[in-house]
Amino acid sequence: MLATSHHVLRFWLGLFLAGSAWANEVSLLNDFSLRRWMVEEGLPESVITGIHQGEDGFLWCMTPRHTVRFDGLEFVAVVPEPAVQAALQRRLALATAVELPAGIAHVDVEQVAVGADGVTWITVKGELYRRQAGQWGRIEWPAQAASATALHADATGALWLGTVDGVYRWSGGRWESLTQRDGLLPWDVRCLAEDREGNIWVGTTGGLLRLRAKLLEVFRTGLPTGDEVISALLVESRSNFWVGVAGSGLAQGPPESLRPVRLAGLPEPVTVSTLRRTRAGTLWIGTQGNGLWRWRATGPAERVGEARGISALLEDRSGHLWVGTWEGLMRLDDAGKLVPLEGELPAEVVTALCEDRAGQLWVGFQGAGLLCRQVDGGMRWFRTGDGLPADSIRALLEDTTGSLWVGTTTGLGLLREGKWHRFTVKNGLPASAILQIVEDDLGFLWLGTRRGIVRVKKSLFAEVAAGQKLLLPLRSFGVGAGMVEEECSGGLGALVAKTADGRLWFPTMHGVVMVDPQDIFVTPVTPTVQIDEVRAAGRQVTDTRLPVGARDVEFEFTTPVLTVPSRPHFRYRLEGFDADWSRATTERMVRYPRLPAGTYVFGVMARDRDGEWGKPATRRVVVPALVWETGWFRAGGVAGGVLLVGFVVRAYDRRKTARQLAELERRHALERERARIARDIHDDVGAGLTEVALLSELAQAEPAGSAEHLERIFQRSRELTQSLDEIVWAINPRNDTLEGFLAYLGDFAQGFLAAAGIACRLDFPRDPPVLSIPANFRHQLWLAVKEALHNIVKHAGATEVQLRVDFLRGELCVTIQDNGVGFSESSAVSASGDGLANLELRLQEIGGQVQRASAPEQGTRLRLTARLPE
Amino acid sequence: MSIRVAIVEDDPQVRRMLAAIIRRAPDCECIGEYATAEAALAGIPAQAPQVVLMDIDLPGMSGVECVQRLAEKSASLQILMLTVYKDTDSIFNALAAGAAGYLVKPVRAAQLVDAIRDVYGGGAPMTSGIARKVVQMFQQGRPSPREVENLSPREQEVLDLLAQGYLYKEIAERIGVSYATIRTHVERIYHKLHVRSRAQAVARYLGRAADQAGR
Repeated sequence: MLATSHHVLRFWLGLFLAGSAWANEVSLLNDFSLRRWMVEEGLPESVITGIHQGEDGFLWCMTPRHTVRFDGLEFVAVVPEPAVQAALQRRLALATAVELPAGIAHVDVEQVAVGADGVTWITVKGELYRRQAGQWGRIEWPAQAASATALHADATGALWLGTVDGVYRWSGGRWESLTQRDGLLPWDVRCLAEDREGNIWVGTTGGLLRLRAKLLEVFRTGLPTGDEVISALLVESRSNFWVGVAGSGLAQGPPESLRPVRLAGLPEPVTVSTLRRTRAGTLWIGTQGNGLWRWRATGPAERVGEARGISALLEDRSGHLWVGTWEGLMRLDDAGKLVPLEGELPAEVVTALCEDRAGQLWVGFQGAGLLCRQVDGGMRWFRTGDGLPADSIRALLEDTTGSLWVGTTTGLGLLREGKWHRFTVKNGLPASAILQIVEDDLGFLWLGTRRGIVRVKKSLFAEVAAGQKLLLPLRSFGVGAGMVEEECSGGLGALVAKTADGRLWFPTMHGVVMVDPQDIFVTPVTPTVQIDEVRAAGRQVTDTRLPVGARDVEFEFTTPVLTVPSRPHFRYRLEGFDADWSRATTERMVRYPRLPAGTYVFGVMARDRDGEWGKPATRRVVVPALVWETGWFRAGGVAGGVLLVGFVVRAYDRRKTARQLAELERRHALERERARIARDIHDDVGAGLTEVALLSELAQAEPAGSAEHLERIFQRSRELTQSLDEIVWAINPRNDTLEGFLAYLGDFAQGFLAAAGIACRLDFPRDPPVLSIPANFRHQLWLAVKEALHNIVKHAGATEVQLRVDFLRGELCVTIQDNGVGFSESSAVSASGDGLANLELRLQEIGGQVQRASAPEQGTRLRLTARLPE
Repeated sequence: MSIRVAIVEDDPQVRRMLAAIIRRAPDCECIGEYATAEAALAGIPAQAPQVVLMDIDLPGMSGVECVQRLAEKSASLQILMLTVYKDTDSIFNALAAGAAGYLVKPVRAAQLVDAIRDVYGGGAPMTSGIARKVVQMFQQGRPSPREVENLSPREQEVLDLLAQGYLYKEIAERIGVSYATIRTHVERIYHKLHVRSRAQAVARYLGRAADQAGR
């Protein structure tokens, strides 16, 4: 689609067609790259009526209903300042004081443009006039162009003219244009503008266009191949280039008009991988697979040596030819034969050859590393262990300062003053493999990579090498700069060349690309940064004070870089959170997912391609504290927590102690009970049985009184049974209940009293509550009642006893009333002797008391009361 | 005509003693000795004694249950319980099951024979403790739909006085009837108790069966 750039042809064609109906102006696309934005790319509308670059560098576009701000990547609807708004709508007008050419009135002037050099341009009814140094001159209107709708004079002094069918540029006496012919849809131009990077912006009814002067120029060979992979390049002079095209052959001539050339003897097709002209005048041709050839203009090419693959050629200062082959390093001996080098060298592909100022030969291998062959023949190897980025070498260059640059498949190596440094993608290089290295005359190092051509200021390497900085500020040039394909040739032997005029020539996958280092524009504007949006929890925030509870904060920012928008570097810092400025990054957004409460200042800055950081933009945010985050609350909480813990520990401790005490009490009580039972058994039963044994013996010994003894034995046995019965009853847990106690009491009283001939009346509660009575309580009460009844039988002389039990409000009351003789209260110490004292003791043991009432001849009433324990 | 007595006692020494005592009594004869309730249940119906001396504590099936089964089989059989301890609950249960009276071991020979004669005569001893339990039993249970099985007012009165500790003689004096009348009352009280207890047992059994089936 692109017209072949043959300037000579163009000139003649231009002249020939100058007057014809279909005037084919030269296409702007020869020298300019085009980029277009339409609604799909984010424009609100297709019709652009005004363009203006603000002080801050952003490009403002006006459409019929919107005004948007462009940073090179996105169109954002922002309300512009009044100055910007005015600039968008301004149309240049000619000062009335200015004198006009004859026959033209001020009112006739349609479009006005003023250049930086003061040159004024006007259009009047289809005619174009230029005023230079006070003189008006007429400029020929571009053929077939309609009337002008926009006019602009750019910084280089060229004139841009917009019409309803395209854009025209007048420079150096001729017109170039961008019209339907270039395959673009018809559109008409509404406005023209220029930015400070030198891009020309065209506002049309079909979107926004950017025209950028191509920085690189592509030259093709005309060989019949689809794409032009340059496999070899030899520049003998500005007008004598030898170019090898992979899979095809050779082309020769000035770059603007390269022609295929057939060398007699050379096979066809052939892939030439390297070319060298020796001082003797011989052209040496290395091929991939067809070996090494020697050619003199006088005869056909001759094959030299057996090696099939040639990858590098070098003539050293003493005139020896070094040949890098697929099987290692060889040289041409005095007999003209290709011989391998003596010594232990790897039989590996030699990818690069270089001779330094000291006369040492540097040999790069495909995988064995870098060899330095010293003048005396000594060999020194360098590999990754020594500091090389990789052992696979692609390019070698000794620069003007004497440092050696090594291009490898994983980065760039530098040997300076005996020390190796390496630079990789981590330092910002766009690609891993460095295929070509060349330095220009302006202090820059140029690298050919698979991702375009890269330019780095040589002085900036030092800081990165020293570890002070991580990222190399660099510029890269790819398709946008004019390359057809951004990939440089990786073919072994494809060398970069520099001509005397300072231009650089790179072999690429599509043609030879020329770079004029002088042409590279340096951005004078220090990049400004705009913080576009602050978001908290996903929602945009305009206040300094963020909504309560939102801890997830995002900052979005941008800088206007209109030429290569994806490349600027940013760095940021959140004062109050980040300790230091972040590393340079190309991201335009930062997120802080969990900001604690506090006041922060966010700052972000951008830097241009040559490493200068601009002024930071700042924004203050306040993250309000939630109640439970404030200091005093926290302190209070901590104090409270400590207190709480203290309380809990104390309460637990106390409860534990109480429990332990209770447990001990219980155990004691149990032990006492067991001791008592043991005692009872021992005393009652033990004594009784002893007596029975004695009596039995007696009975045996005295048959005469045996009846009496036996009777006594029987009695004692009965008593023992009774005792045991009592003991069993006492300890049997089944008898823990009040009901059981009453039953037992009643039975005993009746039996006992009946045996003594005393009537016994029982008065027990009909429905006693289901209560459990502890063993000791039962026992003592039982013993007390038993004792009381004994006393009555022994002393009272009664005929009837009333036994009554009441249970009221947790208190048990046993009343024993007899109708015996009684006694006078005054004589308390009566015949009952210690009986009452005993009773009192027993009751006291269970926390109860005894009351006795009596009167002579009126019987005695005993009342035993005790509170049932819980 | 001698009273035919059978003994159910697991302790062989005690069993021999009891047998010896009975054999010495002129009007009693010992027709059978059994060591377990099961053996007794197997043999007693065939031997048909008139009075059975039953130990409350038997291995295997308890004395109380044995009483229940024997009482079912023969209404006229008089069973006298022998117990070491005055365990009112067990005694009551035995009486409710159908026993006629009880004695506490060790027992005098004369006392034993007297009791056998007494029981054979239809006597039904009731101590105050037992009386209380009977009262409670009747109080706890629902009144039976059959009037016959509820205590009559006079029986209630007698029972109350018994619970208070009055002896049969004293009660007879108090309410102005003969001793024999009191004894009859007590018999009837016992009868009703047996019925009630049997009914309750059945109800309990049915209830338990229903529970098991229901769950």
